[in-house]
Amino acid sequence: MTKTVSTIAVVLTLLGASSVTAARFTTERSSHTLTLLPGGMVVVENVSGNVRVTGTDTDSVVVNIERVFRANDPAGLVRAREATLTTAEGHEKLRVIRTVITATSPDFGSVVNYDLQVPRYARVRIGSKSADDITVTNIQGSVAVTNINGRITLGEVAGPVSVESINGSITFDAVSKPIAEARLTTINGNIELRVPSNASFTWIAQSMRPNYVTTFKSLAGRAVGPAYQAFVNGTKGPAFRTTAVMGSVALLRDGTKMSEAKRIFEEVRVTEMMMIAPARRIVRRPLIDGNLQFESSLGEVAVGEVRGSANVKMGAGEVQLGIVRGICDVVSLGGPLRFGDVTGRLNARTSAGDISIQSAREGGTITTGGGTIRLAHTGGPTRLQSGGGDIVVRQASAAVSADTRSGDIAITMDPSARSQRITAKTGKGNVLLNLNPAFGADVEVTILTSDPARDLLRSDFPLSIQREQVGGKTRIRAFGKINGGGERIELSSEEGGVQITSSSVPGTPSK
Amino acid sequence: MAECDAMNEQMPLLLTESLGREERERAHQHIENCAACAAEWKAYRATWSELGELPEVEVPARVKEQFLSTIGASRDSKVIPMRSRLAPGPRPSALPRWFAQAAAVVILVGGSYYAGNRTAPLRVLPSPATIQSVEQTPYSIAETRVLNASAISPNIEGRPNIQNVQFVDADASDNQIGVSFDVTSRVTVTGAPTDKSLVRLLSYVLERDNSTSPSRSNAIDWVRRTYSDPNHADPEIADALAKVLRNDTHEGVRIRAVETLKDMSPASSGTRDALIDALKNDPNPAVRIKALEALSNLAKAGTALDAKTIDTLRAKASQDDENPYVRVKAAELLSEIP
Repeated sequence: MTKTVSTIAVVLTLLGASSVTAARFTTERSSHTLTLLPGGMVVVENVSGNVRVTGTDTDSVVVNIERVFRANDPAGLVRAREATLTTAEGHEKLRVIRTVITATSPDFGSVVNYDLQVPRYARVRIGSKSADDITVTNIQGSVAVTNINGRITLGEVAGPVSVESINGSITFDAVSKPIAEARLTTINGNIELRVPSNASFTWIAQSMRPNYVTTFKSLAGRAVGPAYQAFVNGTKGPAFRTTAVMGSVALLRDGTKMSEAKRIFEEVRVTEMMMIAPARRIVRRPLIDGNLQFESSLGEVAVGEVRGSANVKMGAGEVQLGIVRGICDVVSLGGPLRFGDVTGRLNARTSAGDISIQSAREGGTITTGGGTIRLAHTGGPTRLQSGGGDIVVRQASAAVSADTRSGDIAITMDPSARSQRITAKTGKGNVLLNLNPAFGADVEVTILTSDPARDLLRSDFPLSIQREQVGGKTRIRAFGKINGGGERIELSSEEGGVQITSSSVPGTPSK
Repeated sequence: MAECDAMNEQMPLLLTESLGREERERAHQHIENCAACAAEWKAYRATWSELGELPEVEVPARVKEQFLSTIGASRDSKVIPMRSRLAPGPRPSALPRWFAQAAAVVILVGGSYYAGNRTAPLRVLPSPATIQSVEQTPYSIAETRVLNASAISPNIEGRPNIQNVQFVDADASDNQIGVSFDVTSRVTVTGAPTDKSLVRLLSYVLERDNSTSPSRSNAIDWVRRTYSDPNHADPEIADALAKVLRNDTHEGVRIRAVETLKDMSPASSGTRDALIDALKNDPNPAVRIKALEALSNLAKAGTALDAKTIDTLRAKASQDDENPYVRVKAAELLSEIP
């Protein structure tokens, strides 16, 4: 295949360009005409600037380029011009229009705007990093657009559509009788899908919030996981997939306005936790003189003191509660949890993230799907569980049960505790338990290891030790009554060691 | 492949610590980078270890007395029975094993002194004993070292835990013998956090494969406290932590490693890649969250997000089965792209 490459280094020539020089800006314009065979593709790759592509009935591609250079001084303008190249490559079946930035500096910059007229049958691909607007209209071929920032607007596009944006919003005006699928995705933007009232298609909307609105009066739709799926005017049309991860999705009937749209509430109640929330909710208060009730799919809670009980349900977000006078119940699908002094019983659960607590006076249940748990003091029976991560209890005056899939467990009992039930189990890691010298207990330690030569068990209290082979590994069991016996202590470690120390100083061994 | 063949031939010598310093270094470097030879070396060492489990043999009193009188030692000298290990390669001598063991102890205690005072009667000092190095050359932290007897102090202080004593007499005619042993001693290396030797030592400690050692967890905590200070930032430490983040099976250790990386700056491309890999693949959501936070810190410090990072963040934000907090944080980071 013969490939004709024509490079337009317009920056180096002013032929065909009009120049308007201001104190700190220069604008240069140029225009070029290229032929394109039926079925051909036009590709525009831009760094910063707007792109407009319009379908016409001609067989040629007209490329209008506008370069805007910015600098602090005339020399900077020259450098900006030299560093901003526009090229046209390819052949009659493929035209690639590209911006090439050869140097960047805080002292100068440039924006390149493209306005293309292309044959209606053309297939169009646009890639851009930053633009105010990318607009594509009146195209019968397929269209694919990717960008990071900037609004994307597509109208009268009959072929398959794929749009992927990170921070941009997307507006898509569908043709009257859509036959091709459209896939619109944005992470932080919103999506607006406009369709003729008689258009037949399947609408699939996805969002984390999820926030779906429509001006269609009745939709045959249902929730599918976090998504919403509806058949519009029958089941025979193509699928329009609209995903706005952090934003909203609107389906608007032609002739209606966004302000008329209503939320699709009832159908989309995905889980107990994924409640409908119009926006990310943030609560930051020094004091709540009563109970705290909070539910949000996305949010953040930071309260210095709650004089009553706290009940927080969070889809995803951070929770920080200083003092809680009553019962504290916090459940999150993800995000770190931090507590100060919790007077009542504490139930803290997150699917992912660390949990730290200054004091759980009545104890409680503390669970993370993965993360470190740090508990400075507990005064009541406490259960701690991590899907993977260390568990550190610096001072416990009641029973403690700690379990981690992989991580170290360090528990220090209060010097005043004479006998409490303690369970610590790690699937991979070490267990360190510190007791006061007078602590009475029936101790049972189990270590499963593939490296029995290591010094895996250390105890300041006398224990009897047994070793046995189990499936290619060595199981070390140590047991005994300390200080005449008492509550049961069960410590279990795989591929790690167990250390029981005797100290009357709280907070040791330190971790 | 030829290098591996040569390595296989050298392994018995490496095991018996009979290679020269440079050869030894080359051998270890090859083993570290060659999976086949690493496996072979592991097998050698396992065999070696098994041989060490052979029962101990007490030295008969008659022989001990005869031997000690031969070298002029006091009858009251304390001879500690020691465990000997047999080399899989050429045996050092045809002496009975108990005789070798007795010789080991005596040579070990008095050998260096004897080497420098061959004409004087040998007296074994009652103790306490540790081996003090008086070598003037930089101390090398290596698996094996070869010291000339004249280069070590004749004073043995404290009670060093000496094990696995071996004897080397490569050339019976050169009047040179060697005693090899493992000695457990406490070494303290001091210096500024930016000293290369300290950085290397800490990197080594971090990368050790013994992931369940509490000392390594402590090392990571300590490294975090020390090297979070921008004045002490060192890419080698960061790279070592990145390896821990990539390879460690202990989730608590990985969490600590990524927490530490989060507080360190700037990051090398290797560190950034490790963070991205952790975000992509680590099964622990806390690691993924902290990897995101570390990447966010990099962005705030002025490091532009490259295409690979952006793609990973976009994929994470869109991933339906990812933890919602990870998705939100990925989206938040993407929203900060200028």
